[in-house]
Amino acid sequence: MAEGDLSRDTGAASGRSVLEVDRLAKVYAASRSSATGTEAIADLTFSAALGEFVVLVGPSGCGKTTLLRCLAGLDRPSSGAIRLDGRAVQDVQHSLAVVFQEYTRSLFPWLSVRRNVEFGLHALPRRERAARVADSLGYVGLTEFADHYPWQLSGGMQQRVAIARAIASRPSYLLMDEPFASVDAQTRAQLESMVLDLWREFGWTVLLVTHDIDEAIFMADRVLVLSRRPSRVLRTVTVDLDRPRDQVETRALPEFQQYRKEIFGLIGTAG
Amino acid sequence: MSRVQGRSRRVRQARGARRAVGVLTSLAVLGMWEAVGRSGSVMFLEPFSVAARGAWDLVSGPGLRQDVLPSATRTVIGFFVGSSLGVAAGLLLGHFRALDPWVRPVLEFLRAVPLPAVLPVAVLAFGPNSGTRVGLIALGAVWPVLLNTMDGARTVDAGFVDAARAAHVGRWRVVSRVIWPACLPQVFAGLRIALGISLIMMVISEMVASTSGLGFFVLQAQRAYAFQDMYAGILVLGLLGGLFTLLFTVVEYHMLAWYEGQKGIGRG
Repeated sequence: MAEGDLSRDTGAASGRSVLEVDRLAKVYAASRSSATGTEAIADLTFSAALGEFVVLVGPSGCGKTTLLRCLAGLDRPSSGAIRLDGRAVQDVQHSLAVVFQEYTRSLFPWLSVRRNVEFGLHALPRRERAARVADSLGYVGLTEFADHYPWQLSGGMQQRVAIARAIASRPSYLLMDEPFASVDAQTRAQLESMVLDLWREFGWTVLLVTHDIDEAIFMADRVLVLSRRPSRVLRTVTVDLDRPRDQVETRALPEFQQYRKEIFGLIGTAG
Repeated sequence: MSRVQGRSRRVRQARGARRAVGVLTSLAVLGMWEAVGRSGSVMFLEPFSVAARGAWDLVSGPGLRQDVLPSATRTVIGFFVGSSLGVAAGLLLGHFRALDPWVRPVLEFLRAVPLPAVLPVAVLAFGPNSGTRVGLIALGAVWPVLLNTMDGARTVDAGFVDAARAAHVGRWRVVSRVIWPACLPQVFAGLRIALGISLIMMVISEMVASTSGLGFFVLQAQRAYAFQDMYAGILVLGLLGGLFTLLFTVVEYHMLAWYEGQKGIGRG
């Protein structure tokens, strides 16, 4: 990434890695469906710098979700290591928040929007909790929906609730697993821009998984193109486009088309 | 807004019509009971009015404290004890699946034993007292709750558990804040069955070596050819069951409002 294109002051320029994935492999144990076990990830190595927006793309079923589960501490890698700030990830990390693809499975239908955002903050004093919830809902523009239930909201709004929950935990790292795959195209564009704004605001180090190449280029500092499973990094594409990015103008840039062609080519030959 | 009000008025009207139909049918059945009872064509059948008068005497006289309240109390305590055990065990067994192979055969055997067969043994072992009867009611209530809760806890969407863990919530808190509410609809389905079984077990347990309770009262009346009392007792039992079911439905409605809303049932 060229220094001059940085419109914000983050550690990305310094290049210091805060998230490191080192020779990660994940093999699922043999089951009824496969006698030998499934190798989801093979020898995956990459890193992200402080405040960097890294996007992983790859063919469907390439082990992206497995990778995020390992990063989130929800699953153990078979070998290799994941380090955050130099410390190995063994379990769920407090400095890390996750936004899942399916909001209907990550938001609890028996809790109001307020309680959903508050979920996981139980160790904090009541006043602090309320302040964080109000704050987070403000950032995603859902203040007046605090007392609704998730199922009373549209898909895009529900995913904003999930993002508010992530904000409320004050993370340094944000993992997003195809966060916009379950909403319509227009909502998707709005959410993409919203997440970029929030990223500027909070200076998160973001790792986003998607199968949408345009989305990857639009959002990323760097796009990691993964191979078919067992996945490894085929190529790293540094996206050198000005920020803030605009849904219409950025996507119309000739450079954008160039990146698009490059990544499409890589995925076409993937595996 | 007016469209919504119009719809809610229609919903209210439809509900009113449904109630009216229900009341009419009930009156028709009672009327038939009355007519057949008066005609004397069925042996030992007293008309409804006689049974109702007897029921009133039962609940307004000393029978209330001697028979009705002990029965109601035993049912409630037995139901609560059994359900609580069922919920606790069901959550544990459903969530921590490693326990399943250890306890499954014993559970399947125990729940298949018809409880009325255990009754005489229990009376011999623990004495013909209230505690034994409450224990039997609890034993009857525990299985449907346990099995439903277990099934519910086992099938809770893994996405919920992942989301909770990713939100830095510990293992026990996941059980109390995610698994428990998520399987509440199934728990209530089990509780509803358990309530019916509790009432049955109450009556049966009071028919063996007993000196109080509605089951005892009905059996005594039958043996003494006091048919008015017998039908009165049955009527009061029915009313007690109805009352418990009503209370249950109110609690269920409040605790599962989110579930009904999510399913779109509550929106008429």
